[in-house]
Amino acid sequence: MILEKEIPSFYDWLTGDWQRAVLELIFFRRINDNPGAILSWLLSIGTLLLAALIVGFVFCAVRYGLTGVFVPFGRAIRRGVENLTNVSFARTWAIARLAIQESIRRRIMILVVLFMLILLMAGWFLDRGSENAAELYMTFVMWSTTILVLILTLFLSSFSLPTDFKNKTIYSVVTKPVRSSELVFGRILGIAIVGTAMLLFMAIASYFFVTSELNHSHLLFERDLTPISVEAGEQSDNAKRLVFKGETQLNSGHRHLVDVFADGTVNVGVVNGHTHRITSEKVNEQTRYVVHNEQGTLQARVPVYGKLDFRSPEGLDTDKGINVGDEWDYRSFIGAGDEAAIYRFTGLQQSTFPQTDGNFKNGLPVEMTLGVFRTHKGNIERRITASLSVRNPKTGLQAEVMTFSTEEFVTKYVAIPWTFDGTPQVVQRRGRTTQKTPDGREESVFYSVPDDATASQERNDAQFSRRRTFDLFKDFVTDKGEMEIWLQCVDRQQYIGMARSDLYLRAADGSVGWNFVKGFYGIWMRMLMLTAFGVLFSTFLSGPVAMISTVGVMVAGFSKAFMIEIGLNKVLGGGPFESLLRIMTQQNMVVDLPKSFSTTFVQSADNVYSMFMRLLGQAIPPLSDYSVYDGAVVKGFSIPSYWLMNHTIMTLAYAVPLFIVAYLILSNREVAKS
Amino acid sequence: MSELTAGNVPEIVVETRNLTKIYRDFWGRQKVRALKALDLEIRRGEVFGLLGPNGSGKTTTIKLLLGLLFPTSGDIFVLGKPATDVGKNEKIGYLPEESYLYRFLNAEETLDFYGRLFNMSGPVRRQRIAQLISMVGLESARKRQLREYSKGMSRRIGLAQALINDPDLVLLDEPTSGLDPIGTRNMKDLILDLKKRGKTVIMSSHLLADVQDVCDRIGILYQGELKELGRVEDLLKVSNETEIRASNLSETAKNKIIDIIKEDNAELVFSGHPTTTLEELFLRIIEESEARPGRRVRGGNKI
Repeated sequence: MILEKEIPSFYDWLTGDWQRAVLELIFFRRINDNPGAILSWLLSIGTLLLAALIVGFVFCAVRYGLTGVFVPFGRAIRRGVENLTNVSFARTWAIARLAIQESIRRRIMILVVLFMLILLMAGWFLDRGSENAAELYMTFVMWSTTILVLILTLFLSSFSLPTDFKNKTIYSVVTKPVRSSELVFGRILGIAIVGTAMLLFMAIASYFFVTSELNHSHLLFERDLTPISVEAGEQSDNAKRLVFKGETQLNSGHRHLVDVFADGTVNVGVVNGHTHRITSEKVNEQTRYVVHNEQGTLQARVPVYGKLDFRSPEGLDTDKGINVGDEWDYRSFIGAGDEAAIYRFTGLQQSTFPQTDGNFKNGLPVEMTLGVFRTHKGNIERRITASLSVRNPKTGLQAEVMTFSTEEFVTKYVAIPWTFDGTPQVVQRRGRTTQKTPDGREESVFYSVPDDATASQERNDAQFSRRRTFDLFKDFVTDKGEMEIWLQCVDRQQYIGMARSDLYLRAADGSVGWNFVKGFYGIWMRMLMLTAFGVLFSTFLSGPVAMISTVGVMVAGFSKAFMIEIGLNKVLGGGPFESLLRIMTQQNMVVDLPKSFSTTFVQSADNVYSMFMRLLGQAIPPLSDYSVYDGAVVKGFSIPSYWLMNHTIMTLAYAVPLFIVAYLILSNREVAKS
Repeated sequence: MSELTAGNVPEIVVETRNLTKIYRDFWGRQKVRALKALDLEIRRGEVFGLLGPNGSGKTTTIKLLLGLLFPTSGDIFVLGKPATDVGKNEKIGYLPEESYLYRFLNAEETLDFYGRLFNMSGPVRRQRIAQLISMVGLESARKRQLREYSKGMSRRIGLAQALINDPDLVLLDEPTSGLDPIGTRNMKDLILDLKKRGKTVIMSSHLLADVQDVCDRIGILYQGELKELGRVEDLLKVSNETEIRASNLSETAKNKIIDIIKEDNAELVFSGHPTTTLEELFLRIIEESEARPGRRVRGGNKI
């Protein structure tokens, strides 16, 4: 189980590569993928406010003429600031209360019944025996909740104000001392409260649904176990001697392998990511086994990612491995020989990791999901073998820990023992770069990574020449907590592929319940953002149009990056007009169009369109960020707590300006205009 | 604006200067000129009636006063403040043409909602709600949702919400429409009661008899122009005619009516100019306006 897009740190998320982005902005270049939340927000809101000011100015100009526009425009802005700063909470609450009453009286509780029905029916169709049952169930509850809550708030927010206008009930409200700001804020608040209550109910129902559906036990009887005879040389009274071996009874589509030891302890095999605790008791000379509820189906992994580099067949450092022709360039591949994938971890501390864990048994827990590419079929039954070594980046000391068989699409759990026996070697990392000679020529030079690995090489060679027992943290982790894990392919002419997120160390797990709460918090934030957009559109559009516009924003929010790409004319085949011309003239996307009037015309039209798309793209909130969040929860990764703050900041950063714009529009709208 | 005020209410409660409203379509083209250069002053404590046929600009005027519409040109001051100032609404009560209320609320909830919009405290709100529900006679229907109300009941709860804040200026758009004769009588009594309490009332109505009964002054609008403005009794007075009203008059005396009234020792009850009905005046002004568009009709005189 991997997260392709890992969750950035709070600081990275906030600032990103903003210096570069500012320079790119100044020189009208394509802004890099990570301009940081602050800069993205400034660009979005700056665009939005600019657009609002222009629209407001044009409205005033239409009403008062170009010469008389400045006084009313200035007055409107002054009044706006006054009204925004004098919001009465009592009146706002009255409006919010009305929205809540309206929702209840319009039988919104039907959604509760609907959700319960969906859960009941899901119980029949979802496969509890699936390999990824937890992901399946979590995806289902999170999606169904998201869709229902978003549809609910979409309707409420888009239709609430337009219905007031249509029924003219707004007349009796705005003729009371209610400011437009209170009207807008009250609506948002009321709808948000209704949505929140529904979401809360759905979250609680979902949690109980998922945990109760996934929770299961097995039966284990004496007849399921086969006695193991005492082997020669083994002491029969050894408490750790294996006495029985067997399998539990079938439940939820699977059985667990069971090892029973002489002292009565039972080892249970991991199936579909979970295991069970089994206890035994003697009843009337018979042993009764009690298989307890599952453990580990729902997880909140805390991954520790490293930086990934590759080692080329020549033994030199490179950024990428071999491209095996896969269009999806997420993974790079390595073959046998000197090639390696090097994960470099920093800031490691032994206390971060669970010291004993049912799945990992006293070692540094590593999870990996590797790709496999076969250049020949070979023995298809046999999996490709790979090796895992650890290396101290300071001393260059390296030792192979294990070899293992890889399986595509399957997450492998291994533990690097805290102490292990191995043969040491000193491996120096080298890279190649070009530099200019004094006479101006470019030449290739080699360098070492890092430099201090070579300094003590001779000493290390002498020290580490014999097989011995290593202490993982003492021998391979530097003072700064740095360590490297090397993956190498053992089978010749076969390849294994990996990306940065494919291998991670697993720190002590977070709380599953808390992670669940964090997952639904993301949905909540999305709902609030949607409400703000819905109310904004409803201040000047009719209900259905406001709803479609809000849906449009949501869709655009998920493809913000693509919109900006269109805005920067980076899409192959040009903009919509050029693409149309290409379709009509049957030219493919990579051929340059011949110079002609029609080409100039369509490209000019595309330029105007792209400018519009760029502006629009900047104004749209980056909603795709929320999907990272969902992905993490359903795949059983713990969401860092600071990510709650990220989303709160992002939601407020958009909702507040949206509220201001909505207020400005409503306060300048003639309520009684038919 | 006049600076003379009683309490916080200015002497001139409503003032419009050259008030014009033009409705335009999406492209800014003129659709209707709903109001043309209206100059109006309504004083504190007056009951002012706005009359006019459909589409004459009465409702537009009220909506402009309330800030529901923005003027195309001209100024409006209500209670000394521009009409677009939300602060003026603290002392205004408005009964719309139809009861535009939330039909999913019951009477108590409706008044509670509007009371909250005035930042009224809980106890005050509850007391006011009880008082108003009793005043409009909806005690038995206080817990019923408004969707179940008849038109007359809706008007009554509409009136109650308009009075929730004990307003100084009450704007009533067609206040008696949809009311039965008793309801109409009650409404008129209420208007007179408001007047007695020093409140200013502006009402528009098609029911001329109602206006005649309660209004101190009226303005007659036709096609957006103010055709007539003045005190009701002045407007209805026919100045070039004399009316003598007598009682206990014998048949003989009838033949010599003017010469012998005194000789016959009959009691002279009334001698003066006769008055027309408001309906007659209204219809005459409309006829006159259609015959000579743009001309202001002189009040009370037959032309």
